[in-house]
Amino acid sequence: MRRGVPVFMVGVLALLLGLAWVQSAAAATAPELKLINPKGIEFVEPIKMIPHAASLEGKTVVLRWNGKHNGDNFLTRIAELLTEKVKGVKIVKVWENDPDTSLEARAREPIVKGGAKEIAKRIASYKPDMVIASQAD
Amino acid sequence: MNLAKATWTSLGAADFAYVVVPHPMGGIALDEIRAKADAAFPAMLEIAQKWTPTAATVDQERKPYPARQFTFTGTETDASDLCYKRGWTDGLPIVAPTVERVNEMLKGTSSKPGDIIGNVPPRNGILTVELAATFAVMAGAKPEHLPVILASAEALLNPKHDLRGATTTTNPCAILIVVNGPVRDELGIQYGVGALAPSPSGQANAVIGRAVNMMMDVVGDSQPPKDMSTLGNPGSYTMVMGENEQANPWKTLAVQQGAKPGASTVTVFEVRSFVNNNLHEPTKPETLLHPMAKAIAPVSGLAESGLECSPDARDLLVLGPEHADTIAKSGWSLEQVQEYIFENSRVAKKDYLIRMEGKEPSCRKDEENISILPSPKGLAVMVAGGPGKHSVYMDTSRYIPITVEIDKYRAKK
Repeated sequence: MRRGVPVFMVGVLALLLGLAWVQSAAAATAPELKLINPKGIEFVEPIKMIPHAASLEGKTVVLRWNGKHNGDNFLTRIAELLTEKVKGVKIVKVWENDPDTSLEARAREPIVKGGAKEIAKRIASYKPDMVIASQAD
Repeated sequence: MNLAKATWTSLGAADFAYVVVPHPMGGIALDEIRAKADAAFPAMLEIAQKWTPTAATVDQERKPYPARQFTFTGTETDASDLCYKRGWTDGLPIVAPTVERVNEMLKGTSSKPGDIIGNVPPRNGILTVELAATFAVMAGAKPEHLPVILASAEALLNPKHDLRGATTTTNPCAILIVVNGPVRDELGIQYGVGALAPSPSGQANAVIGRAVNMMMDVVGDSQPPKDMSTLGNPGSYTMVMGENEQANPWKTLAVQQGAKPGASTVTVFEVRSFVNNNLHEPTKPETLLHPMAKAIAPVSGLAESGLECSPDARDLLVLGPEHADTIAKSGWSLEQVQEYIFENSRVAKKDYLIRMEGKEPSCRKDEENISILPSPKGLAVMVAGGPGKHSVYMDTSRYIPITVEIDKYRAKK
């Protein structure tokens, strides 16, 4: 019976070595695949952002609504708060002067020739120091 | 927020001054929305007066072609899992996009692998022919399917279609690709019985749509949660069908869209709702089309947030062959079908104003009884499917369908 222990241990060792060999052999035979990353790159035209003014006092702020539900009501309240808190600020709710600026993109294109760029030009015509725009819904 | 960041980055800004206002915005009372403005105002005022952009700029990191390659050691299943973990799939297993397989796929087109099809929103990912072939491999497509995939991508990226809107809206938009012309039979694209169903003979329908959806989602970075669709749409796995032109007594969809008769084309739509019209009794055009028109009005009219303002938007009526035959036997033209649906899918303005809580529409303000279609031509009509008394109305969210010819992408023989 005493001789059986080392025999058993040698057996276990051999089994472990065998398993290790099988594993390394499997790793060695695992295929090597040359794959293409499908994500691709994104197109960017870098634009320079300008810092905001230290104060909005006496400045012109244009509010642009994207036509989504309640965005106009939200911006109207922002206009009230700006007027109340910032001395001499001039607020332009652009959609009230030019409703086409709040049309959704696909509805806008047939109505506003030039699409988003034309809308941007119209907003720029107010010479804003800042534009606050609602996005999404 | 992820979507907003992806958008400003894609437009070239390294950072942006913003305040996040939590949902919901729509469908809440005026005092609630004003309270949200009150809560957001301090942060808005702070960034309005203190924000300075970082010095970082967004640079074009490298050329779009060739795509990055990498070596991976493992089984095909391991490679599929890797792609899944990296967010490059639709959640189902894929075929590993090996360089060898992609090169083989590219034999299906005369286009060069470095040709750019367009920039996929919202990320503005640059979609090359090589990348399209890569997704074709992943979806299980064959080289002969690639031209249909490329034509579909070109159609979707036409600015008139507004894929940016479709991929960023909370609406459940799913891409529908309709195939016309000889290519249907050449590739075995299903257009008869169960044209939209999973099928042992529907491989082309399955893999073409899957490749297109995966490439738009991955290259454009519009998978949930960046795709903001509230619930999403199961049609986004794949939704491709041919037109049953043999059973169409009028102009095919492609010809209605301006294609040459007999050309092989794809036409892309964004489908939001799929409404089956199960109508066994009608024997006349009026009795058949009347319930269809009345079903369309609630789906596209009363359940919609706004009226259609774009004159080019088109919804889609897919008539089953038996329904098309019932109408045509009475001598009705395609134009009469469109006119009938236009006239009978009207919503009273007073009903429209109920859900708008009295707010006037932004267009078509003078119409008291408003058709849900912008014009009779705002309904595209096609024929598909097999025997049976069923036709399907596809509410397309009013995105403008675009048709592209396929042959220019086919390999020269």
